[in-house]
Amino acid sequence: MITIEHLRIVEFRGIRELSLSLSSHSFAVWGPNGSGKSGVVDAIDFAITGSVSRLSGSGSGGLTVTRHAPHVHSRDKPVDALVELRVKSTASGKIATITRNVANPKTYSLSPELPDVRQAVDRAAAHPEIVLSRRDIIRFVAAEPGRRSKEVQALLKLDRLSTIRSTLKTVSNRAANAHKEKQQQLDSARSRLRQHLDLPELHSESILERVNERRTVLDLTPLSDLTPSTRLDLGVSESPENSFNKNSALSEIAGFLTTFDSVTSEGLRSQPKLKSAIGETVSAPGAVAALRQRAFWETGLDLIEDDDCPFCDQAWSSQPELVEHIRSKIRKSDEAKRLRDNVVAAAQSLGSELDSLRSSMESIRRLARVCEVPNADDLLGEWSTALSRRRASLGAMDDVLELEDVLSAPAFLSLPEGTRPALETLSATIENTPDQSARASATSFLSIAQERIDHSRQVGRSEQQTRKSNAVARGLYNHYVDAHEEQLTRLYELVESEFSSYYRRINSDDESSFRAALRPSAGKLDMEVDFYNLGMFPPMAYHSEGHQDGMGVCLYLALMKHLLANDFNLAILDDVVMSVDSNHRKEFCNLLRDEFSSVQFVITTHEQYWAMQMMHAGLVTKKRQAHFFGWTVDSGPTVEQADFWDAIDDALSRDDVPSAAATLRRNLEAISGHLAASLGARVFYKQDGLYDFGDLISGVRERHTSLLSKAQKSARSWNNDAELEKAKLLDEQRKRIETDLRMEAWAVNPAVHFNEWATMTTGEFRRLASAYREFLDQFKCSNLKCGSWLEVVPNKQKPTVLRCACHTVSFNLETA
Amino acid sequence: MSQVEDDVLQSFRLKLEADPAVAPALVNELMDKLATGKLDAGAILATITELTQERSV
Repeated sequence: MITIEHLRIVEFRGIRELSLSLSSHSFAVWGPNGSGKSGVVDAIDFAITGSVSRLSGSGSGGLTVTRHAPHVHSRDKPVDALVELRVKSTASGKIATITRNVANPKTYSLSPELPDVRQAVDRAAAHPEIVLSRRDIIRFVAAEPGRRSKEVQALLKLDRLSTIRSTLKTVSNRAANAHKEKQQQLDSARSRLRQHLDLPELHSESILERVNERRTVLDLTPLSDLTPSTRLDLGVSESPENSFNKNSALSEIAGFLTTFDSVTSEGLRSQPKLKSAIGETVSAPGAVAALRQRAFWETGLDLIEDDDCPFCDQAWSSQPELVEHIRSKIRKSDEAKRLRDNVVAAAQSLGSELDSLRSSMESIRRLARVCEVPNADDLLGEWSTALSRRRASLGAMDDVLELEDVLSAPAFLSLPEGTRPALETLSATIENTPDQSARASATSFLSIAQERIDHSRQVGRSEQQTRKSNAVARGLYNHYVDAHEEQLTRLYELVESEFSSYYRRINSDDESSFRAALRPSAGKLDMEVDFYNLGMFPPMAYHSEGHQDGMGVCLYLALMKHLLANDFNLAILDDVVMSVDSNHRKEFCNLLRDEFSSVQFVITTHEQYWAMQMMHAGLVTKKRQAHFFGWTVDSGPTVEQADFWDAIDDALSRDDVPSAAATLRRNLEAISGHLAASLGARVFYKQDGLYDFGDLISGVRERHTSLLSKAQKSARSWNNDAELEKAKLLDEQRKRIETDLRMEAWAVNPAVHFNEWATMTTGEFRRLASAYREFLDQFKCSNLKCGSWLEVVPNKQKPTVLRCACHTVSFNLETA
Repeated sequence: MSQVEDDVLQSFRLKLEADPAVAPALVNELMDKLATGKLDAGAILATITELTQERSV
């Protein structure tokens, strides 16, 4: 995976030219709506993936990167629009610069060309979900279970797992059908053997009994054992061509006539099933065309060897993307495939019945030849040939579909006229034939028995093979389903646990016992969440929009952690969780800082206050944020990246006191609000929620004094001299600063309207700003790498610790 | 290949290897097909038939 070192945007979206230095650290982009912040998100998205998610997907009809990603003034010159992204491979630490031009979005150049960096970039490109917007998080929370399942599956790249499952299911079904067909053939072969032996069941003892009766007639040694290689006619000389067993022949022809009458009046059993399956297929709108297209796409899928499309020879950005594109087309014909499978199964059954019928005919034809009834032989031969053609027409789908009209008609069986009378003549001829000698009869009996047991054995071996293949194919599918279910259940349990844990952390003040349940079932992913210990409900049932946003981000983070594991190093959060109230956003910052310390977050927000919260929580440093404002079509956004004290110094260097005063006022209001919340200061409640600096700062000062006092009292009670000294030092510093502030009392008096500041001289305002800077610094960690504001933990009525984000400052507040 | 996909396929492989009815050659052949994305049901069934037959012999 990669992190971002530097970003340069030229003529892209709403930005004319912009450079941001991120140095692989988390970064905040803040500014009002319409200030061009999202251009940064789109640029990163484009540089990594070659596309802009905002310009694709539902609701983006007709938008394309080439036409709509360039700045509107460069819409006819996409070659002018480009993004440069200097990235670091998190695996190797090597750095290279991606340059991607809108005129040729599918490819990018890398300088220097470092294979491991390119590999890391390509891996990031395969995970466009590293860019998250509010509309994305709503998909996880507010979607109905079926949709949520698809979204989560897409995020976790589970689509291919589903395709594997579906393929193995097809393999298992085909193996089962092949086995079933062989079973039917085996049943038929055994039935004919049983019929010849005149046995109700085939057992070794009874078969040997029947065979040995005839062998005794022929003075042959009785067989004592029946093995797969035993020859029933062992020792029998070549049987005369015209010998047959009269009773067996009469029994056989009677059985055939019964079958004949049944199939000529009612047809074969599988005919109506096949007709129904064909009817359902051809009457489904577009099914036949979909099947042809499916065959086309499936052929193409097999031909994919690299990033080139086998149909149009155009290069895709990646082979997986191309494969997924073609699979999505194949999935659209899943219903048609189901219909096709029904037709194939019914056609196979009908084919087996035809085979069985033709096999019976051959025995009857032999009798017809022996008994010299050529008409019966000819007619059955003609019929067999016709049925053979029918059998062949069941092989190809297009041929099968054309059979619909003939399946219910007698024409399907193509019965030659006069067949039954010829069979009756044959039966009468056999009846009138004098019974042959017992020896001829025995010879005939054993020859036919041998022929039929050979056939049974041959079909039996095939059946055994297909049975084994079927068992293995079924085993593969079952093992896969088990592995799939086990891993997904484990995954969802972990995601559920981490999601709940993250959400509890953000909402520890009012939902500390929150828990969630993720239940995957048949293409759905049900999600229920606890609502204040009153039961489990869908997330949208009772929770506010802000809480739902929080859930969406927490679920996203939990999913990403499992999707990318140690490769989760970059996430672009575009104006997410804006509905979450400020106190919970603070905890959200803490969550990102503590739980995802190896992730570089690029976060956009339209609230300055939240940008400050990110900084105060130590999630971003003051140098790693950019303030966007004053966007115009012609110039794009104005971007301010300096610390606000730098901005004040800069204004004062130009003797621009009003500008410096406005900056100080805006920041004092924001910081005092943050400090009041993070220290738990008592503030006079205002129903309109509009607090100014004067409303907040008194409470903050009193609270600070009280906390330092508690820290000293605690240190004394634990006899912790080192801690006591530190707390005393801070308290003395506080007193000195308070004294200094009193010297500037007329200026810092909250009652004095801020507008008065604008009338100060530059020197007066510089002293005022300096006093405030020192005043505010006492609430910050002195560690320059941290610089976060102090906070009490837990942020409840009885906090136990006063600390900063890096714990350089950490005072116990509890006494022994 | 995502982490989840990798986990599922690893678990699948372990189950196949523990099943005496599945020939080791079939396990390797099948996992190669899955890893390279060549998910053709006909080819997989042909492999099963071929390797099961060999095992029977």
